[in-house]
Amino acid sequence: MTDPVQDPVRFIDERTAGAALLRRGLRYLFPDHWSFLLGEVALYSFIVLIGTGIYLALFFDPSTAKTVYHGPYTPLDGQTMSAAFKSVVDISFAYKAGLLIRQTHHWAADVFVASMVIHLTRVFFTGAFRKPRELTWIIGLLMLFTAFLEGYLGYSLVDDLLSGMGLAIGYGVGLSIPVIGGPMTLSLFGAPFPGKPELWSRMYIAHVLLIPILLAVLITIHLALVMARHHTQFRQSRRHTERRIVGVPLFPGQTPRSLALVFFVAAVLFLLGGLVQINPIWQWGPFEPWLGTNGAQPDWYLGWLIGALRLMPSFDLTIGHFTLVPNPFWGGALFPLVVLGLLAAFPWIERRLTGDRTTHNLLDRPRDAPNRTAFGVAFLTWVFLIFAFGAADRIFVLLGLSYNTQLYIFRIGIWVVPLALFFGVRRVCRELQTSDRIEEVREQAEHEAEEDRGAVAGAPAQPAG
Amino acid sequence: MLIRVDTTKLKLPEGRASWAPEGILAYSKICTHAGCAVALYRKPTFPVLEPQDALVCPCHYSTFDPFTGGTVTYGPAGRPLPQLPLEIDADGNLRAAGNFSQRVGPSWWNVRSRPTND
Ligand code: FES
Repeated sequence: MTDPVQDPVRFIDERTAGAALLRRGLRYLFPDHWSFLLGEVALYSFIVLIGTGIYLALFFDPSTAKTVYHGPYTPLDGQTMSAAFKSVVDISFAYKAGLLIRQTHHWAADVFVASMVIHLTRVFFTGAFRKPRELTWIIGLLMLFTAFLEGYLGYSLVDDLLSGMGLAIGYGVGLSIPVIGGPMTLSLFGAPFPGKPELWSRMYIAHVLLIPILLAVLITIHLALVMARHHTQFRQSRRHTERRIVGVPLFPGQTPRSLALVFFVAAVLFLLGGLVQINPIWQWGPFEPWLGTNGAQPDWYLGWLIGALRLMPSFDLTIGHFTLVPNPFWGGALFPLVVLGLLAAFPWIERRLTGDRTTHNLLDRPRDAPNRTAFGVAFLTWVFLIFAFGAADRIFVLLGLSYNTQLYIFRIGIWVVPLALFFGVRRVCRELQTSDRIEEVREQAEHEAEEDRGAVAGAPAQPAG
Repeated sequence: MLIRVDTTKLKLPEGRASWAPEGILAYSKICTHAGCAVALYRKPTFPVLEPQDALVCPCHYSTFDPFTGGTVTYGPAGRPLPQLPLEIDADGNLRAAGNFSQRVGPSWWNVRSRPTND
């Protein structure tokens, strides 16, 4: 007798010896708390990005060759533009579902980065990065910064006005890297901005192949490390300890949750892509190196760099007639590197300051580590204020507060506000800890009082445990 | 870029007196900060109270003064806009009378050396 289910399964197992591994995998325990789903949202956005990206790659033409547009979007009719820009206008107006897929791709990128950032803050404020998970933390940071680059390349490839302005600044920041910036950036662009046509094939292969593969590899390592050292967990009950994992197994517990989340994330992204306009490139029009405009804002995850470039006081550091540090370096290159470096080194910084070298599987609540929480809030606020200044010209249009006034408010504010928050937040954390302790003592006392009453009434005392 | 201004307002640096025939000035349009196009021209709507005309870069609002040879009056740029000397030839055509005053484009290691004539 042959069995249509068992036989093929046995066939595969006998040749792969996979059953044991699968059983282990299916029994993997997931912590039962919503905040562990943030990373999953990022993963599923990445899947949507790959799917929509493949569709876009069918129609996108990474070429700067000039053509004249004749197509359904009449306001651009007769305009000279690059083949790249034309193909994106065509994706938006001429191909089936093109606009939907393009906008979903764009939204998915924004959500991808956003969910990573929120996931990062969760990991930071709960101390999940501590031993033995420092490598997972660093891989995650690398993923985030790779995603910035990937997003930047994505919107640069379109060759509309916004991407041209972004590329010009990228070129300027590249040049500003001390000593080596000039030759390095020139070899990348092939010629002074706007560079040679090869730039487009370089950006394209990086955007659709090299960086996605890098991201996929990083994601795999990240998840493998999570599995190897297991998830952390909150101290939700007395049963959650450093040594005992409480959670739901991958199957059947977690699987329906994750599946639901995949579909939910995809549904929301497609709804956004279908209903909420994003980056209407036909309104920007094609880029030419002599064009620029007010109010060109990049995607949100690059706003902090614009803000830093704008906030930096004007000076180039020179030696004789050599320019050691051109101004854009501070805001465009050093600032993100400092943020990355500080976050990457944080597990070691904290260990040095607290002397805590033990293994941690239980998470802190933010109040449990007042110094870390206070530093985190101050640091995030610092980055956020710099980010906010990137929109100062929009704030001016909205509120009428002059750009110059804002410049000076922000130049002081980015230092004063985080500092004040540091002490404020630390104080709040300590107060919360104190009130926790009072609560504990009170409960203890009530418990004892209860037992005393029991003893007086002659009831046999319950054995502890 | 080419602009024409009132010659009485011109205060060009020394040696550039002849660079702006009939008040016509030529500047590099590449911002000396990070290389965007200096695409905005700020014209005061109420000249008595407002600062005078300026060339403005929309990326990080570096602002350059066209009357004084492209000097930076605001924003993060560290070098003036390079100016191109102009002349009007015998046939009445506008011509470049030489190379830019400085190297054009955003700053890098060697940007402050003299421009070559290639
Ligand atoms: S590129 Fe012009 S101000 Fe930065």
